[in-house]
Amino acid sequence: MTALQTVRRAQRIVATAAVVRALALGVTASLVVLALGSFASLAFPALSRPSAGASAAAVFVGLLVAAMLLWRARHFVSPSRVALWLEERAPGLQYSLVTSLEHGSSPFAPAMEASVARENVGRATVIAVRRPIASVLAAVLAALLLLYISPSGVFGRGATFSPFGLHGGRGTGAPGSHLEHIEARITPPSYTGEAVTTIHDPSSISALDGSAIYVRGKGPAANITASLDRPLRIVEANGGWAIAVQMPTKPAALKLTDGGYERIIVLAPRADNAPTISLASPAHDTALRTPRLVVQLSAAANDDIGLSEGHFEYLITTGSGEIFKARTINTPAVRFNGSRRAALNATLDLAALSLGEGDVVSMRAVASDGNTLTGPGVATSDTRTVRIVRASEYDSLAVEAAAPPPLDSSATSQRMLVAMAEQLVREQPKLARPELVKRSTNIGELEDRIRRRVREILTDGEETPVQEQPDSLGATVEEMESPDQISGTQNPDLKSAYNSLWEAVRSLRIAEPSAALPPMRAALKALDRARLANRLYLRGTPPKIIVDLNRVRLTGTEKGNSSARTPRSFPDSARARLRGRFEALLQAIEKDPAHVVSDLAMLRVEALNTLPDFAAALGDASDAIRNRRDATVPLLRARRALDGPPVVTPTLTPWAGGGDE
Amino acid sequence: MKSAFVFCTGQYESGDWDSAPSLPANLIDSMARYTSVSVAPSGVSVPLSSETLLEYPLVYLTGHLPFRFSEAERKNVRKLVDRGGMLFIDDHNHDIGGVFHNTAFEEIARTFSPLKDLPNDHEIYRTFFKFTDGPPATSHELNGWGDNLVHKNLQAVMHGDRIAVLYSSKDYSSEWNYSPDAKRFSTVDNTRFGVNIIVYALTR
Amino acid sequence: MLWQTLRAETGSPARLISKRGLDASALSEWSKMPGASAAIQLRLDGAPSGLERAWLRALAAAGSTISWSGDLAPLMLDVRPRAAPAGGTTVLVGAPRGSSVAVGDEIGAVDTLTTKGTGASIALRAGPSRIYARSRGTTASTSPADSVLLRKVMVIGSAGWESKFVVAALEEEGWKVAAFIRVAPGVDVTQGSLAAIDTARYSAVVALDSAASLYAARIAEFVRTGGGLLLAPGAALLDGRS
Repeated sequence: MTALQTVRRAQRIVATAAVVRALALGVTASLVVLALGSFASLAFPALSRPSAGASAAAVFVGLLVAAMLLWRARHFVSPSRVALWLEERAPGLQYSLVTSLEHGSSPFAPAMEASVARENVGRATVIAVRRPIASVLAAVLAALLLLYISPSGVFGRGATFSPFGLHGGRGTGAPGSHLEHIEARITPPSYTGEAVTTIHDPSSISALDGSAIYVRGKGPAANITASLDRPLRIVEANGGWAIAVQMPTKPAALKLTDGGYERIIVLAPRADNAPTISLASPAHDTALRTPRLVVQLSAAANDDIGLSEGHFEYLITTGSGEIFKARTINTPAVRFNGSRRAALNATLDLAALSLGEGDVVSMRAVASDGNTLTGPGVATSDTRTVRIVRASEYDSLAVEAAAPPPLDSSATSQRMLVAMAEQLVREQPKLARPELVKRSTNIGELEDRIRRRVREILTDGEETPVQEQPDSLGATVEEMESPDQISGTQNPDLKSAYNSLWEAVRSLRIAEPSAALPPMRAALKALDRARLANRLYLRGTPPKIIVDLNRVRLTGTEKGNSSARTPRSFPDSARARLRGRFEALLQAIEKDPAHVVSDLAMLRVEALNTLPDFAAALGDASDAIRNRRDATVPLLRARRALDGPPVVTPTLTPWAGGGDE
Repeated sequence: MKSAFVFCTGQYESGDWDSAPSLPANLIDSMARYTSVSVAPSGVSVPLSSETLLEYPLVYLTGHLPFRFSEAERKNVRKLVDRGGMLFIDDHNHDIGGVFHNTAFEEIARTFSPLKDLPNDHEIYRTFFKFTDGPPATSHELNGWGDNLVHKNLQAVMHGDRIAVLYSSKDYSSEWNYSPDAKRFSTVDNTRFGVNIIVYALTR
Repeated sequence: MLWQTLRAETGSPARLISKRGLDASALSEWSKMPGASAAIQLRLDGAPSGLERAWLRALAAAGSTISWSGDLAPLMLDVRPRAAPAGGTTVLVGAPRGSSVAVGDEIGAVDTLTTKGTGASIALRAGPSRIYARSRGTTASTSPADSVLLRKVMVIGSAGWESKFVVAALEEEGWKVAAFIRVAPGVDVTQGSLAAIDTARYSAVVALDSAASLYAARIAEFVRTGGGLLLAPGAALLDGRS
């Protein structure tokens, strides 16, 4: 074998060893990631469930490590580098191998080749790669061991590292019975359009109310019994046994027995929820002086299964007090054909409704879903109201959210005044002083009108006349009542608006519109808040009658009677009952795991509606026990779901003996 | 919460919430005449959407017009009732199946659960005064307008065995909406059932 | 890593054994040696288990002098049942400031906490049969005592939001409540029997306002015999002298 051939052979061995090392360490890295995630699930129970994300992360880390190691080993592509590597490991070569490769045509080449042939380069190569291979294989084994002793529900044996937990899981399967390897086929109600699903070996079945469930297993039906609150009929089918049930409306336990074996499948119904619908437009209620407005209505509907149809409903009331009439108008229904989301739009021309003063139009959206089994579920949105004000109720504070108000000075709104002041500020650099003063004063007068109206409301209608001189500065600032002189405090928003309006009028009257803008905007916000809270206050404050309690106290001629009160029932006694049963199960878990699985299933049925997280954790625990895995983590999760997290106080109080801190 | 009982009228946005402005003073007067319960001398009006609503154990609602909760009002009244407060809703119309009644029934069903007839031997009819025949009839019903509109039962939403929402179609708002000074002209005080409602709200 | 040095002094009947750490084999060996060792000095990294402590006590009783040194984490654990109808347990842990203590029961870990002062407390809704605490190699365990015996609570007050919600809050926590609520002179709303206020019937009395004045003397006697009393400001001026 020539020197080159020797090097090539060594190159193959080294390359193989490098690949094996890279792959082995890549696998080790993946296993370590899985094991670390499993240990972390002791602190974060959510990690205990196997997930595609965790597996993908482990694979990615493994591939990354392998790629890095392969990249580091790339030098072995070069024969001269391999030769140097061999020289280091076989000192007896005394660089004859490298010399032969580099100077193959020299007269000394044959002597070099002979020197190479004398050395057992192959053995040196194998010895050199053996130790690293052995160490990586040891690393793989260590990683496997780490994963095995981790709490991993998929790979691990369980609680060896847990200082308090159960040691090992004891499975409860029923080997030899015909209750193993059963299959459940679930057919949802036809209106849902959902596909049929099949579950193998279920411990629980979650499906819509009314779904058809077909459970089958292997073996003769002779010894099989099934019950779901009442006995069920077992039939022979396809060489095995089968039962057909409909998903009940409440959680229930399907009990299967085969001689001495028992298996429970929890049936967890999911209700078809009613749809939701929200009215996006109009966004607010509106009060109008004249019934001339085209209202754009839009609504958004959602459903968990599928929407059927939707429409808008208008309820029009005419009249007042005890004498009024009401009529309802529905828009034509829009079909949604089973979509889960839909939009609904309509236009309402108030002029077409022949409304008069005092009339009220209430608008809302209505949607229904396609539930033909227990429904349909119907949803209605919030109501928006359009009211046509009476002449006696004209209110200059009305902020009409649905459309811009008409430019009528008597109904000029604060919003319009802000817009006018903003425009004046923009144009100010180009205006002559007299023009600025005139325009600023005009806005100030209008603002003052609003200020006086707010004052009337705050002081319950006691007016203090203010001299009006529209062509001059009008009432001086000193003649305006300052905010401190206003004693009415029933509405803090109106008080705040008054303060801001007072500031704004002051600034406008001295032709400083830019200084007036911030308080004008603040007044607008305060009036908006007051409007929403007290819109109906503005129609007329109810009279405040104060009863003279001292005069009438205990002057009634009739006497009352003593009575007995009955204690209230505890709202959370269901949780206390579940807790008691759960604690009893925990005591029994070590002694009789077979029966615990059944009891866990029954407890889960009871908890499904009231404590779904607790029920889910019980399901995981019973799966773990059935499959002979450790159930510590799901049981801890169940306890936390039942009791909530423990309340930790990181100090001891003096009453508990903690003394002074 | 204030230590004295304060009669609270709820303001809602959809209708004429203030249609019985004298009723609060009348019932406050009755509470003072017959009981030693500490009461405030005047009532308050509180928006249903305001958190202040939660300071009052009993909230009175009435009106003639359609009755609808906004989302903020719905959320707040649910909170009030969940925390042990009570709603008393009275239809201020003398009718059957009118627009206030229909819309109120719908809103209450949507917000809490459907209203059910309250048996006429319920304890609310004996918490202070005894009403052996159930809810006392109002003068509209007794006058016999010939319209046969007599509501035999009140309705309620129960939380356990406690009335959370009490609904009346009997128009007590018209019956009790007068100044308390006018009581001296009556031989029988027709507000006594209001005392039962308030005592129930404060002791059950 | 544990290491072992054994130094025997010749010519002397007493021996000095110095060891770092402790294990069953060492204890067994010392127990089999002819004659008692004069002194056993232990340098410990963690608190010995109950068995090991008992064994050392036996060696001491046989004549050896046992001494130990080491940086052991001090740890105290106490468990008390909560005096509430819903039951539950309060776990008290004593450890130096900043200690990390893992608390668990027979199922598994309950919580891990870091003490801010001389310890910490944990309120559990369940009533475990055994509680463990571990900190820096030291483990403590204990079992809760028998549960507390609870009786009814009596509430006395005038009709109003305060009496209504006090009774409701107590009942929602699971307390059995007897109530006396004054509505008018001679007109009361009662719940349960108010025949006698004594510690055989009631754990505590809650007096909210002057309506309790009727029972002031009986309440005073109740407190003198060990009953609990909660006085709201409206009832603080009641005269309990009989």
